[in-house]
Amino acid sequence: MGTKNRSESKSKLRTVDEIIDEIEKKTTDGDYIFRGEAKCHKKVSSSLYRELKAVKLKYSDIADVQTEIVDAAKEYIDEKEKFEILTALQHYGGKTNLIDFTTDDKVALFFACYGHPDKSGRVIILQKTEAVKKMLKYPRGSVKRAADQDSVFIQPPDGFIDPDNEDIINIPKDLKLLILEHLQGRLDREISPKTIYNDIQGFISSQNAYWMAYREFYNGRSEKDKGDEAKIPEEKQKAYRKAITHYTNALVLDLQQAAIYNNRGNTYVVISETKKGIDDFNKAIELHPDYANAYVNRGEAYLHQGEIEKAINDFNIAIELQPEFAEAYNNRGLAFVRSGKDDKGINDFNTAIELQPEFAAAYNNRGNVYDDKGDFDKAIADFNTAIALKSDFVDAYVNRGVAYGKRDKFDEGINSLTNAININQYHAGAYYNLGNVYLLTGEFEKAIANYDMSLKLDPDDAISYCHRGLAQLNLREWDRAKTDLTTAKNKGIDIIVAFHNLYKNIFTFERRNDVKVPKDIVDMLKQYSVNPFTTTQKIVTHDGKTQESAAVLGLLEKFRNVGKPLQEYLQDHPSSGIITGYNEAFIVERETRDALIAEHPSSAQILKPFLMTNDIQRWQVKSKDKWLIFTHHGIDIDAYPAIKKHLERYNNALKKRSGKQEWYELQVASKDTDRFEHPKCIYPEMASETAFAFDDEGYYAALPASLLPTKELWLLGVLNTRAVSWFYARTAPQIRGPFLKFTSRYVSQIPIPDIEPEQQALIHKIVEYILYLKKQPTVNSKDLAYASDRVMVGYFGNILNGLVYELYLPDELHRGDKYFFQPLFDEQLPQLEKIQGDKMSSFRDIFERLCDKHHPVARNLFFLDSVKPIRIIEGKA
Amino acid sequence: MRITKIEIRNFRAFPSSYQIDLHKAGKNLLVYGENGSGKTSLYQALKFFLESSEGSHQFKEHQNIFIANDDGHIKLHLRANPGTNERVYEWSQNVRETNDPLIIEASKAKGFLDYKDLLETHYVHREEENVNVFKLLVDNLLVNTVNPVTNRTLGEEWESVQQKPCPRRNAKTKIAELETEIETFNSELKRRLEILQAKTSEILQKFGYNVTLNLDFQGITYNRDEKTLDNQEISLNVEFFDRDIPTHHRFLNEAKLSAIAIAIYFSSILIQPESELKILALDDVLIGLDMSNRLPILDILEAYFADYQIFLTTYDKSWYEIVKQRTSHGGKWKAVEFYFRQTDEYEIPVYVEDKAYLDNARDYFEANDYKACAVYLRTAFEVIIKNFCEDKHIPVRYRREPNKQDTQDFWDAIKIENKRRTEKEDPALLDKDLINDIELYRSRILNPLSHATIANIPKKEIEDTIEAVERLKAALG
Repeated sequence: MGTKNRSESKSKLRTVDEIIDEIEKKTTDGDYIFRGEAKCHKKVSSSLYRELKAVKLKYSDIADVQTEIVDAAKEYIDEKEKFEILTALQHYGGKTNLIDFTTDDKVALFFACYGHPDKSGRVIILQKTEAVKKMLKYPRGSVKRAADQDSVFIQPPDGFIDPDNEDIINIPKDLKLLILEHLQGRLDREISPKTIYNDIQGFISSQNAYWMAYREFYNGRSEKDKGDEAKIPEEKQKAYRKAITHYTNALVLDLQQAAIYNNRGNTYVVISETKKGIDDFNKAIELHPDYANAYVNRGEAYLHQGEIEKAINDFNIAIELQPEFAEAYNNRGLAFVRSGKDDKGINDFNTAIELQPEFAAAYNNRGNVYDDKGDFDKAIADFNTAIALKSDFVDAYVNRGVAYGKRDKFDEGINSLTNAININQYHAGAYYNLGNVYLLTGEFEKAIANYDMSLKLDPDDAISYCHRGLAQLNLREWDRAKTDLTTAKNKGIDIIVAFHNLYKNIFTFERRNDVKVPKDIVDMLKQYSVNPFTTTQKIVTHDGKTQESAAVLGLLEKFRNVGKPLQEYLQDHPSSGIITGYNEAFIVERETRDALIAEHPSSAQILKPFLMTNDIQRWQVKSKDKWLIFTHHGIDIDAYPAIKKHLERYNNALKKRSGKQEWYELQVASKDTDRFEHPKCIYPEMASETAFAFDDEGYYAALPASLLPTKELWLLGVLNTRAVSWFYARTAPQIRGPFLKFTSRYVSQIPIPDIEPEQQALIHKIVEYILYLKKQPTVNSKDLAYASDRVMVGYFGNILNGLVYELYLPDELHRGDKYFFQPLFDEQLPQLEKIQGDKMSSFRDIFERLCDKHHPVARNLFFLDSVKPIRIIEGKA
Repeated sequence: MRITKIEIRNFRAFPSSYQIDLHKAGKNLLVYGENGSGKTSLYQALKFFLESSEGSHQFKEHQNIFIANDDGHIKLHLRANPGTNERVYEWSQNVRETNDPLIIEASKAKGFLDYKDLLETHYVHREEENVNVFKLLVDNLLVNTVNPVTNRTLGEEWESVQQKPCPRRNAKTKIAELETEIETFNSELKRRLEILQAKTSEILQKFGYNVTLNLDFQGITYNRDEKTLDNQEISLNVEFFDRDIPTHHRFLNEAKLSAIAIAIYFSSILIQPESELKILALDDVLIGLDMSNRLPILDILEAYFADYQIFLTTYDKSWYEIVKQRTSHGGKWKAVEFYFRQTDEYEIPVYVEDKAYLDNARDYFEANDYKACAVYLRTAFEVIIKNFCEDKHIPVRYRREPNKQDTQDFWDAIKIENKRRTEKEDPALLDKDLINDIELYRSRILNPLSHATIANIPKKEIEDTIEAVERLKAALG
């Protein structure tokens, strides 16, 4: 039974630690010796036995042969003792009937791993039984190597011993290197070729190992090259795998080589086993801290993993170590670009090109940045140079094709991509992009054929499914379209974004193609469930991720640069509403409130006007006349008998609330009244656009609503605009559906533009108008007779949109001759309180004036979306 | 800002290169074209050019189907005023200069109306009491007007309301959301209709109708039980001399409804801001009107759209001639004609600017294209006799409606004049043989209705007709 269990556990041995544990466990109960064999012979035998067996001599008389050899050797050695002669022979590699053992299990482990990297090794454990002791010989103490190896010998009468299976621990070949690394790193005693082979004989044997390692290393390099050149993906993979095996073999033979780690690491990165790659680079750097190349490679691997800061750090070190290292600049450039610092990226590519004028990859990379920035001519020029320098630079052909496509130069695009395919017919990306160009030119059959190829080469390429589906839509192949789009969606593609990117919306698609899309497909592609500020201008990248376009990123940057974050501006932060834990008890109608006060006048002190989340609208709150029982921490509940009586009815439910409060208390401090009673902005947590409401009537609010501690109306005006809604939608985390979640973490980051006092005053004035108008009966009436009054309020809101766009994007607007502040200054709008008589009729006059088609405000609002950034924000580009 | 030249190459009906020179002043353009002659392609060329920055509108979608590999383009030459330099904007497969704010704004403020936009006038419900023009307005005439609050077009807003999923009865938040959106739509539509009805009534006065227009809209409502959008109704009421006519559904025949629709469309353009480049294009829209309603349109264009560049197309030759004549003074208009011609493989439009109709007829005859030849021959005949009557002040039968005044009237006038001269023993205008020949060929070749049968007419006879018209020209010209 026991044996069976053990053999089972043997097969499960996996990690280095498990193997060491296993050996230790097996040798706790007594005295043992060990032998490591780098490859497994059938028997555990002496070299002489193996020799004799090879020449087919009868080996029963192995002792005689041994004696003959020793006698013959006497002539050459200044030694009389027979056993000493024997150990000397063994030491210098002669054939003897001695089997090397060691008293140190770790030394045995070393021998089991060192050499024969392509074969499994084993450790033989031998208990010093009486029988064994008879065969056991100790070497003379003066031989240094024997001492370092804790050598002992077994001299078996038959030339071999036959240990039990359970005394043999197999070392799988792929663990060898790990074990060697472990042994080398041991703090108590380093076991490595250097410490084990510490004399000339050892040197020679490690020279052998070195040459073998050298050969393995070069085999690895040549496989890697093969992989780089191979075009069929399977061949590529195969070659890279082989390269890794060779490098690993080389490392088994020669642990100290940073270069081998570096090369193997590179290969791991190529086959996307990035973590393993980074481990290798770490070792290379540990062995050789000035190894610039390893830093560059590690940086690249970090870049692969998206750890951009670490990557840049590594490139910096490499550049410091080797200031003319073009590759390092090139890679750092890539890292900068990935972190949105395009200009720094371009700088680095420039340096790389300066240092190495024929650096095709650097041109290609620089071209990509220009392409993303929309500077297609420069991009194409760079791709051209890259191709001129390296005529089979497939990626440059593909990139050039894509750039032509973006520039609407479809024929050139098709040419370039076809070239790419001619060079490498297994380049899935080239087919995919060629498909895209045909999709744009309306050659849908050709587009589909190319997506087919792309999917044949890379059946997981979700984005190809998506675009093939869109091509099918154009051919009215509804079923196929549906299948493809569903596949893409299931693979995580935002098909709605992809569709709207190409065709604006279903309405436009149907009108332009004069077609009715089946309802089930319309449902798949409908936009309504998505926030309107987030859909357009996103890009679905080749790897299927949805990301912001360069244009959007650039705009966000502009927004951030015109001012400071809200939190910094306010020197304060948003705060959450109250949590009651049981609304039914704490929130009462007016009747109950009146009754409570009638019952005991003290109730009035802690009954506070209260807002439900639905009461909070853009600009204003609309109370439903609810009241909050504000029983803060430490309240003397007995001072409010009526309230106490009221709350007691909910006693059980109130006690079940979480938190440390008394059953009648809210989770708020007694002092927590200021923020409610002072003028403030309140906003709901969920809304499809920014919806800040001003309140100076001391309303209390509960989650999910939050407060912004400010009474600056102009700030409210800025926040309630399309510009800010757009910024927020693009910077806050996405949730499904049309709603945005307004959490203080992101609200506090909204950039508040720097503003002149008179601009501030103007916005303030208009916000006052809006707040006033929102309270007027005609505006609140549903009667269409007052439709114009409601449009008026909306129009003032839209004027704020214009003004705030001008704050965020002054240069862009002014370049397109769109001004809002100046014409409104000229208008000399009266302050709300200065408007005499019937304010409504004054407002109607103002509205009519500002809405007149010749008024610059009306004109500029009407034509505002001819300004490019506004087209992007308003989803019209 | 005016268009001074239009270049079209390989777009829709235009297989090769066409240039329409509108001169330094950027003249208005009057286009006569037979169906399929490229007239509508010209309209679309302008329209799509202006709209091409929207979405990913590709030129290639519109390339001439027969010319597969040739690169096409549309180029507009623009000039701020006759003294300044021209700038050329191109839209083609490879170049998209239409992203320029100038073009985007022109597209936003443009007026483009074609007969299809008016088709809805045939379908409106003319019930007892009122005419519901909701679809006509919301889906057609006003679809591109912009809500000053949301910056979205009425079409986009209506589409968005319709696309919203119908919330269940108890989904209060969703219902509130939908109703807010409906309210935004209702409010602006209501306000806009009020402004429009005033402007439209003003314009209708020009048509000679002493009427006041009422566009009554009660607002879309969401029906929670049926989950429908109710009250899709804008009722059109016409008050005659401030007095309600109960029989207005008879007054509102299709022709009048067309006139009102055009007036509403004009108003919708007029009440919104104007772009620097102002373009109004009307493709065949006047066809639904009777002639008495067409002429006032010219006055309206002159009164309200004086600073717009106008493109007017029609397939009605006599209307074309009338407009051409009416607009021939002042040098603000240019008139061109499109005919189509069969080549070996496909039809191509032929674009005629000069008046050498007879030469053209001869050319086509020699090219064995009798259909095209007949078209030119007919035109030549009409032009010869009309010009003669006008030049010599020969009294032509008066008709109240000018479109009824046709070739027959001019020909009769010439015959009467001829007879008068013969009686007075003055030298005759035309000899008897020529008159007989013309009479003969008029019924067979020079008659617009003969178009379909022309293929069956012997070649000799067509040649004789050419000769007869040449003789006529020699006699009268």
